Amino acid sequence: MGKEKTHVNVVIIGHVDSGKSTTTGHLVYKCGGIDQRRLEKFEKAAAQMGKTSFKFAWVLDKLKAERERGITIDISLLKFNTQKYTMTIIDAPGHRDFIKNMITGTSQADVALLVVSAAKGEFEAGVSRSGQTREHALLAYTLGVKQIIVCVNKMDLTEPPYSQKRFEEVVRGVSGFLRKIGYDTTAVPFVPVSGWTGENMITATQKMPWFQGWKVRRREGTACGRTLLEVLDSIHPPIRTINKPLRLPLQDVYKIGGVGTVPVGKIETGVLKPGMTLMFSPAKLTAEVKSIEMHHQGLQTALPGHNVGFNIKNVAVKNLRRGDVAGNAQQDPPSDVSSFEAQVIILNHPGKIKSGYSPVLDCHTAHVTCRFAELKEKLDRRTGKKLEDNPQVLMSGDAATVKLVPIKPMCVESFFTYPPLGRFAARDLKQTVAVGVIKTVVKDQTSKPPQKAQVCK
Amino acid sequence: MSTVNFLAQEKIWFDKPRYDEAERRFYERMNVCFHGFLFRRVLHSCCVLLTLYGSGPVSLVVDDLRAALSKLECRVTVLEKSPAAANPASLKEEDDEDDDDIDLFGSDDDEEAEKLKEQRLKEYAEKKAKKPTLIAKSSILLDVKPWDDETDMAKLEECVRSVQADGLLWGTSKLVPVGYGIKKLQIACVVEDDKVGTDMLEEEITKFEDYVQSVDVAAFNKI
Repeated sequence: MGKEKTHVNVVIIGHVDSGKSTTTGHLVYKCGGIDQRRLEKFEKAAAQMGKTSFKFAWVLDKLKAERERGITIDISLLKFNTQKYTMTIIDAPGHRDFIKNMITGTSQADVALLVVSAAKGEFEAGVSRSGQTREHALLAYTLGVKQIIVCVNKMDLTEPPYSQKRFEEVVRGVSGFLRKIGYDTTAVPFVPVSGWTGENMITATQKMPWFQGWKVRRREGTACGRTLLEVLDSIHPPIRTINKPLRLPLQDVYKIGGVGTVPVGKIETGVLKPGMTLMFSPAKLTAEVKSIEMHHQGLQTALPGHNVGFNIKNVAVKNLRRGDVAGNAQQDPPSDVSSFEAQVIILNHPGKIKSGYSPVLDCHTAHVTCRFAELKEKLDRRTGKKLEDNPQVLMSGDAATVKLVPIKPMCVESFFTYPPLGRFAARDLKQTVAVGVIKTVVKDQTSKPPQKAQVCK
Repeated sequence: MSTVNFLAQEKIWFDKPRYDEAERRFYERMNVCFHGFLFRRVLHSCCVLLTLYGSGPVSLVVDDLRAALSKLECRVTVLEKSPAAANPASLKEEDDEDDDDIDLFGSDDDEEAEKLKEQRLKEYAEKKAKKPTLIAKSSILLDVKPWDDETDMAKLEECVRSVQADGLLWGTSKLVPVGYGIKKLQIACVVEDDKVGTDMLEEEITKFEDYVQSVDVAAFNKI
């Protein structure tokens, strides 16, 4: 099998009609993903129906129908390979709960692929006020997806087809708002493609001789190429935060007969090894790791991204719960916070938000009501500049720095030090009213020092 | 492929877009004038209605409507003005005013582009209207976790599948080993975006508290 490729999550964003699914389908179809047996079956069927010319679109349709009935469970359908990476696609739905899921969910996006349609009227609709393009891009930026790729799709449908003028117009429009959001557009590759006919997707096209290739300037040097696949291959690998202190938010805690207490969670940063002394926050307990298992197999070292269960000594199940964070007791142990300062963007709140507003915050696996204790500054979300000190109210679309106070003990971190523990979604009225990243935390000093757990099973 | 290259460098068609452009402008201007007129009439009658019902318990709603109306009115004014000698300063102002809505961004395109955009949007809307509207659906993969290694997973799955809702379809499932004999249930479902949310699913499933410890969303994708 050879050396395993680095794994990268790509979130596909864009307006409904931008051709996201076709584009991603093309990548998956051509670069792995769909298993050979199923592919052959479909291709044979396609040939029988006389649909060989667009068999890929036809196959995609079939797969979509399968997914609609819920009969495919494996997400390998959304995987493909580049030279350097294995990529998993997250095809962003318009579902209102998706945003929360993207923030707290298990699969964080490393790269965003923004698909915009160059077809007449479609680009305009996508970036219009009601379009999803801007909102998605803003969210991606807010949530710390710093790498974005733009593919200008449907070049076969411009007037005239493969129009350079249109491409440039779209690029101008998109770079304009990406810059406003905060992206450095010199580091954003723009590729004219047709997901339908496959121009510039995998191989360079002859139909757009005016396209000299994309080129980007990044801190790490420049990169260039012609196709979308090359762009995807040129991204920076996600930084594996293996050198940081351990952070492991708990998803569940089990009591296993003959073994004892087994917390389960995903390692966000650092490593976990048997013999390590862990500190749990806000439970304020320490315990030693006896063993680690993943998929029923013992592990000597668990790394970031691993979903593991581990057995600990001398802690009763009832003392731990979902939302607690485990860390190395010897190396920057986690601690609960008395308050924290965050930069928030109000997404869709029907009224006015004043200080005292207390929505539920979803941050990693924790789920705690927090009070907007102080509205410190209102910011221009385009530039990040301060607009107003101590604003009285915040409304949808506003960005602000606020001080938040959790109503019960909670462990969070600044986004800068531990990104997965530093972003949150605020929920109220059954929807995501705000998203935010934590700037600074005030660790709780007042409570009693950590104690050894006395309770045994 | 060299033939294609040759064609692309040929200049015969280069003038065509210019003619297209001219034609488009001509019709655009006609359109704007005509629609502007109609628009005004509609707006006016709306305003009359609003003044009639402008007080009482509905006044809040009415205020909103009025604000929306006045915005529309500004828009029409702009549209009507722009074919003639446009006044950039006043237009800029309108634009800023426009910024107050819930949209996350303002737009600072110039008037010419604005006009072009309107036109294209209209065409797009027309095209869109002809297309049958698809119901937006998502596929969600849920991890349902038991309390220990002794939880009856078959019963757990039965409970999960007993959750019914309009727009919710349960798909296939499998048991995934976690560690220490614990298995979690991974189950796919297809939901209609407007009808079923993850909160509702989570809530309903965790109601079976004898079996379910927690629910996580493992994957969430557009269909």
